Amino acid sequence: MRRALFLAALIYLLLLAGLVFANRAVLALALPLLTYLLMGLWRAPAGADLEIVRTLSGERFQAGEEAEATLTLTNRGPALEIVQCEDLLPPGLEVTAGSPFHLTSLATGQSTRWTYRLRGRRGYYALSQVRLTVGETFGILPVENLAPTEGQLFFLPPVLRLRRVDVRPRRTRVYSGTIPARQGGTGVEFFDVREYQTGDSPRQINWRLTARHPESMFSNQYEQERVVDIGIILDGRQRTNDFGGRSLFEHSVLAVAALAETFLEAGNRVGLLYYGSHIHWTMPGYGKMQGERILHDLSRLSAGEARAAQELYIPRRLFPAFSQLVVISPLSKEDFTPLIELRWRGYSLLVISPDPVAFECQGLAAAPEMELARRIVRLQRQILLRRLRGAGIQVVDWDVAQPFEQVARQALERRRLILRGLR
Amino acid sequence: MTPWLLPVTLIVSSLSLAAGAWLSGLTGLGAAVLAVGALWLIGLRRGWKWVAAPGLVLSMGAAAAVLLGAAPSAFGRALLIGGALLAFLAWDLTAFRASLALARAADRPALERNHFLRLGAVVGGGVILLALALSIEIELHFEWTALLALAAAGGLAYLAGRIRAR
Repeated sequence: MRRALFLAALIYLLLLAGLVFANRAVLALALPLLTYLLMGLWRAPAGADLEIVRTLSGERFQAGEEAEATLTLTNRGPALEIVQCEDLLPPGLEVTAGSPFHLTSLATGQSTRWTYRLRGRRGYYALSQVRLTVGETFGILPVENLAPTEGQLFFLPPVLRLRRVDVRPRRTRVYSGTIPARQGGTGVEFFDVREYQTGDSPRQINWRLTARHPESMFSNQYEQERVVDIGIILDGRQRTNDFGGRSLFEHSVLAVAALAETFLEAGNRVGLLYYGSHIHWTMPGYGKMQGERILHDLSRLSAGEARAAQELYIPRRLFPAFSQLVVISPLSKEDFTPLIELRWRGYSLLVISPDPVAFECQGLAAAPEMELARRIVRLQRQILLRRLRGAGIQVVDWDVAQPFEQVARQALERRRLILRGLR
Repeated sequence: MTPWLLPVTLIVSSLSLAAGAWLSGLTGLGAAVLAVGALWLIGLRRGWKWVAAPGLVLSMGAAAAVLLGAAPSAFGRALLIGGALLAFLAWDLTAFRASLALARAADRPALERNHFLRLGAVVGGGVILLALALSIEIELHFEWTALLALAAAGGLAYLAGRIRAR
């Protein structure tokens, strides 16, 4: 339309100048332009009956993997000289091969198909519209409309493999698993000795103790291992995660994906609570399907400013009493009270805290004032972490410059190693 | 074809307009036309989409200014009109080249053929009309001139209204 108006204005100026100055040459100069404009208007299509179908090579990809989109455009109406098609991609998707644009001419009933490849950051992307522009070859009066299409892409966070994560909540579920249940029974780890009871396996008899006390026989008891309820709480508050265009949130998501996968593989029941711009709750569940659910939900989440409260808000009714909670948060000093309250109410707490001080300092120039500021904030953080540890909360201070697997290996598998060393 | 035809059209247009201006004694305007042509050419290489419209307006304006102000010879007039027409073709080809970049290599020959056939027909028709307009001489009084100006304004306003309505 802009071309048509521009041309009309130019023609009018030439005609006006020619008539005002009575100059035939200037008047004549407008005639080819007028012919062009009229031809364009005459040939411009009134509308189009186009059918567009998008096929994706899949819906679920790991971040960094490539998806392939194939679009098929069919003309159900009269022949069209120019059909321009643009697959409207949401921000965050990057075209790696081919193009989401396509320009062609289509006879009645004719189809065209093209393919392009795209890659995306972690996230959920709805591909819901294609822009179709039809016109004649001069592009004088194009008709543009948005055609609805179906398609969605999940770019899931990468899942790191952790060998095990040792947690010991006070209450376990009835099904056997890998978490020590603080109860004697069948298991692997030694728990207690009791008097022999009918039915005990001869392998369980503690011969040394029986020899010392010949009046009776004693059996070893092993600690039962059960599955547990684990609630993972992901802190998505902008004020704790974002530092001048860089965000710790991606690291937190990485940790959540790895932990959820590890807990679910061990047979536990895992739920996820996201607290950021909104509260998102993934109902607890078991197995691979729950893993998929959590990964899908993680792909949709991003850091955002909390509207309600500044401190961490954890609705307790979502988590069974005395269950294990894993909080992934850079932490701020206001978070101390809600975490302590959870501890008081009997929850076992593991806090994995991506270190915001080290993260922010990476992007800042070295200066004496900066060094002083860094030391002050570092001290404040150390005090906060020490107070949390003092209250019986297991805290992992994670400098995100180190891979999470390495930190998890050192900090979360340590308890088992210490126990073995003591034995 | 379009990628090499466009700069050629643009260069010939600028040279033709500049020569027309120089032959009419307006050397400054000739140099300005060459500068506009050079800027347009640079804009094409750098992918400036906005450069074609001001380029066409300035080229047409320069041709009209020389035709109105300097009473050029028949050869000079032909150079100016030819140059202005080529500038118009360059404007069209600039937009067409940008669209063509979105087409697959296999579709491009057919699209180009269709465009050049249509453009050839339009330019041919326009040139015939232009030649007729230059050869027919009609004495117009002021009233007729004013009436025609009003008719042109009304017609174009109606056209613009229709375009906007669509």
